Amino acid sequence: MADLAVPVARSPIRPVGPAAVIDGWEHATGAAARGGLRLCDLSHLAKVTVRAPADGATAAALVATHGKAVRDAGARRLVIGSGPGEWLVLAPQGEGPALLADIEARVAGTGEFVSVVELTHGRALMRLSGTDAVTGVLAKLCAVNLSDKATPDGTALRTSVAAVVTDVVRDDVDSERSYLLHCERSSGQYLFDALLDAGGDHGIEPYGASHKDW
Amino acid sequence: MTATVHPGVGTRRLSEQPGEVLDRRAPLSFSWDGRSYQAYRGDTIVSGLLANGVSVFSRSFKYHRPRGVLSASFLDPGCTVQVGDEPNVRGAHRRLEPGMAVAPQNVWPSLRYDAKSANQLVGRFLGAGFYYKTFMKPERLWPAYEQVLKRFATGGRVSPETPHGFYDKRYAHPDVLVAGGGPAGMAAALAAAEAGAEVLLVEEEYDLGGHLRWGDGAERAVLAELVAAVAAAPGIEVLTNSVVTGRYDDNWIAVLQRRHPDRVGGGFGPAGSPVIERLVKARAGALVVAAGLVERPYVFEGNDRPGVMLSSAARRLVNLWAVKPGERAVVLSANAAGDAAAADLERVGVEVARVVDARSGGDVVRALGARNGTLSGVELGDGTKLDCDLLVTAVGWTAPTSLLNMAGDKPVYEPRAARFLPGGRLPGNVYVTGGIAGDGTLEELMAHARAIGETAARGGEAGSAPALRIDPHPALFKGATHGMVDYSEDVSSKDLVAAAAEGYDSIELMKRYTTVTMGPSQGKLETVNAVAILSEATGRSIAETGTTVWRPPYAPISLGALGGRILEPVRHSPMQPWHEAHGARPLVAGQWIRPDHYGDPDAEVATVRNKVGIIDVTPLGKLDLRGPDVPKLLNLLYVNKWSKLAVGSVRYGVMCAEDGVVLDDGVTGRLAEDRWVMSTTSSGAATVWEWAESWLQTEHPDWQVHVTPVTTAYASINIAGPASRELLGRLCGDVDLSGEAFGYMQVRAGTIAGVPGCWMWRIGFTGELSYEIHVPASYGLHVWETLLDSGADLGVGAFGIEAQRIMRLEKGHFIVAQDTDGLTKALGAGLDWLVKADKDDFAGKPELAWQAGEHYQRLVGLQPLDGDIVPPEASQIVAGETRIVGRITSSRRSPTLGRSICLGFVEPDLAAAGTIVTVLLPDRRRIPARVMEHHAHYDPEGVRLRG
Repeated sequence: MADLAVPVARSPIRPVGPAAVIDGWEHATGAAARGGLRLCDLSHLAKVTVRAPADGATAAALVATHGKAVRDAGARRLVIGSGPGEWLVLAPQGEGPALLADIEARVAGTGEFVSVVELTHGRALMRLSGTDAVTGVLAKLCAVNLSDKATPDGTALRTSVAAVVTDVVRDDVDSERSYLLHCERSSGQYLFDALLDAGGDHGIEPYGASHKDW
Repeated sequence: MTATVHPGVGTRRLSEQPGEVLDRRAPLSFSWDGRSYQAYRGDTIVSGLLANGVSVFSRSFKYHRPRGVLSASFLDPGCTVQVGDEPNVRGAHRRLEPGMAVAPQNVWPSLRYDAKSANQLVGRFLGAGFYYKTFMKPERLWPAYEQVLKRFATGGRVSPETPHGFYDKRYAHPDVLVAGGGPAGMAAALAAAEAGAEVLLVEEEYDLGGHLRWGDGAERAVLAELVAAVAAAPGIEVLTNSVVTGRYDDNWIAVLQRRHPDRVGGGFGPAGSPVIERLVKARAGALVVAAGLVERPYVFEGNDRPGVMLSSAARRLVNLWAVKPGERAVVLSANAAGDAAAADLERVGVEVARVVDARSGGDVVRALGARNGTLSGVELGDGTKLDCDLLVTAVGWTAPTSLLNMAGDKPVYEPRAARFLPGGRLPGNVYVTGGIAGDGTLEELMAHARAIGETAARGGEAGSAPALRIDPHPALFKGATHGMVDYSEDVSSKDLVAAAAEGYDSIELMKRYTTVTMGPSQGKLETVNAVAILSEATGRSIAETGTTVWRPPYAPISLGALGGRILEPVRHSPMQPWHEAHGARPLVAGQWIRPDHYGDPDAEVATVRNKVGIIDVTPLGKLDLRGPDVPKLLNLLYVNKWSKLAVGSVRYGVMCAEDGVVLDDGVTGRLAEDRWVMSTTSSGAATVWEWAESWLQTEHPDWQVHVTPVTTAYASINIAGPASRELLGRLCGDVDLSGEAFGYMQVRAGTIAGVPGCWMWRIGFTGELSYEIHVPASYGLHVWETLLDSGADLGVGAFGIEAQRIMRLEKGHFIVAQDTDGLTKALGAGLDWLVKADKDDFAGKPELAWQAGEHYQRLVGLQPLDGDIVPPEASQIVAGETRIVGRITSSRRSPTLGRSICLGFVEPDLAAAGTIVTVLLPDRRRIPARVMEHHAHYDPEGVRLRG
């Protein structure tokens, strides 16, 4: 009989290689990829969506406007303006309840009609990094202009990637081109596989997320 | 210099040429028409064959005349061949690969002795409109004619066994897209890149350079500099062996990339296979058309004999592929290109018998043929006859203005230059440079291109670059005799003159009547000749005659390329790994892949009816509804009432569209004062979300409701069967599951298998005591496995969709879109008890009020009198011989009842319980079936469900 006291959370994306449970989540334990084009699973991050008037006090409190992503809480969180009057906030693994409570507290005094819903388990999230992230992968799957001029670092947009509705966030790491891709959970494995397939001719490497990826 | 024969690589192979593209260290073998030959890497199919002395590659479309090289380029109409399973390969463009099996196509019995060449003997009867005139009557013979004519159709063979190739697609957003990688295109690209633009440079051939590649030493030096500069320039992406096939509004530009080499495999295509074609969909800030010029053939008797070729073809063969195109040549030259060809030929040891200078009135009247149809000599304008096996013509150029036409321009004929030029009616984001735009020295053309490239990069006015001059050129289209105009379609100048005489005297009509310009080369070689011949026949000027319209695609695109990378999203539940590990047979339900069953659906039914089963119902749509106005929304969307639903309760509801047709059904529960969860059918999840948002955003933006789809935020499991309470109770300590505390149609939140934040509904589709639990999706597999472990002693088992479908049919529950269709209104589905006409308003209310007074079919439970017969779904219910009075919508054999059971629609006068109706089976048998009192065949009172 399974140990009822220790539930295990799993990403919608199969671990790349050997895996172990770390703080309640199953993670791939292999080394991070070092190549020029890399894909990792970040579905374990805490995710909260906020709905509120697009231009009111809640919007001001969340800082990020529609189409932009802004780091918050000493860069531990990312606030994404994912739609008009719609935000997605990302935080480290396990911080979902705290994040929810924090945002609810932050918007409580606004008097606005606001919904805050935790979607940690309802979305898949992955990070695609490398100079060739666009030419080698995304340009095959997404019609949006992802050039530096049109969509610089900090841009958030909702579009179709591999025929799946996906929130794409340009979120460079250490000045390297990087994208967060966020879709509805059940399509996560498909999207991950589609990105790997598209990047095959550029040598894309999948790996389990490391601490550095968030 | 004389020709050097290299053993094994051809009798017409020259010694190494300074601009050749051959890799002499890489000889390769290939076969042609079953015989083996040797060539070098870098050879095209045609250059490899020519090097081996093969000069006939096809038979012409209508007369089956032997055809050889004309342009030695992609457009060459006589060089279309079959490569393995691939038909219609452009043999003068496609490079040889080791082991390639090449064959002629459209020949019978062989290329050498083609029986259909007898068509030449009756050629005068096969003129324009022959088929229209001959096969018109009698109409009853059309099918027979079709069978015969099919044998004469051109084209290669497509094998049904051909494996699927891999085709790709990509998007590009260059600031400047340059069509054409000759000197002007490269200069424009460099200038644009220097101005800071991201540039996509597209070249149809395998290498950049255009005519510089087969030019002299000075030209090759410029070429080397340009190629090095392009390679070094940041911001220029080069696509070779690629062609711009179309320009659409706002510079939406299609680029076809052929034989993309660097595919290394993956999940969606055969591993290691090359990309056959890739469609690049580019949205360019500016388009620079630097397409160069296409050399135009000359029309005279015998101009399609193998051995008659364009000056550019002769120069390409000599300089790029080191092939000696003949032994004794006559050159008809009206320009520097012809003179250069003569010089090239002499240099490599071809005897140039005569250079006939068209600038001083020289002319070729006819090409004379040997018995095998190839060239044996020429007759000149002064009556001289010369023996030769090579006749080179250089009579002028055609501007390939297709992309300009597609951008809205109308090219203008310039009589002095004897060619069409851009008409100057281009949108501001389309520019033109190079030979297509005008004349000049190489330096002048490149200076113009640089100015255009820089202007395009900053979005400036095209007119700000100084215009190119226009040099005079003799107007040479058709000589003193009739000859071939359209080599692809076998249309001669005589056909065109005859068509004009018959009244087809506009170029558009003539094209459709004679099919001139409609073949694979699509007018790039023949349009201007056709226009000139029509103009002569009608006495109108070329400008007055005009041209046909050039539309996309500029070059052929395979359907594979248009399909591109195949993207078919699939969706999986968190329990998918378990399903796969336990032999679930997958059921494709929209994008969802679900377990249909695990081997024995009847046994799965028995498990649920007698013990306890669990089913993965994650795809059930789930919408989180928040806000004070949720009851208003529910009252609007559902046909029943929602204002008084208490916290902790759930209610079944049906939604109709405005036309009263059943849209979806499901239960909605109230989790807290201001928080509700609506469930939808699995297939209706997206529709209902959009439906709710549509009402909120367009009709009631004042309502305070937020709808958040949470379908896959929760893994959903239905625990069904007499032991379901016992099983759930073992994993859930913080909710009282007793019937008194947690009754039917109630909802509770709690912790299951250590996972907080779960909720559970006491509802079910199977008719048994059941709990539908929703757990945070990341824990779905944990909870699923824990249920199976914990309930082993209870006999718990997983069941799939098929078992659920059997049990729901036993219970008479309909499935939207299975038992209803796009015409089924709520009352017909037996929902009159649910429709609350006394509500103020709801979607579909007026239509349902109207339906109440109408004649409509009713959904009923049905049982065939012979319980062993399961009528297939969609079987018709009939009265008399032919009158259709209903249909079977669902049918199964019930393992619980040991007989067949159905749901179906019948006319209202047949809907009373006990009525015997006749079901017409697909095998024409007619069987009696009884209308039942209830939809439910099993436990109609719902005793087990409420247990």
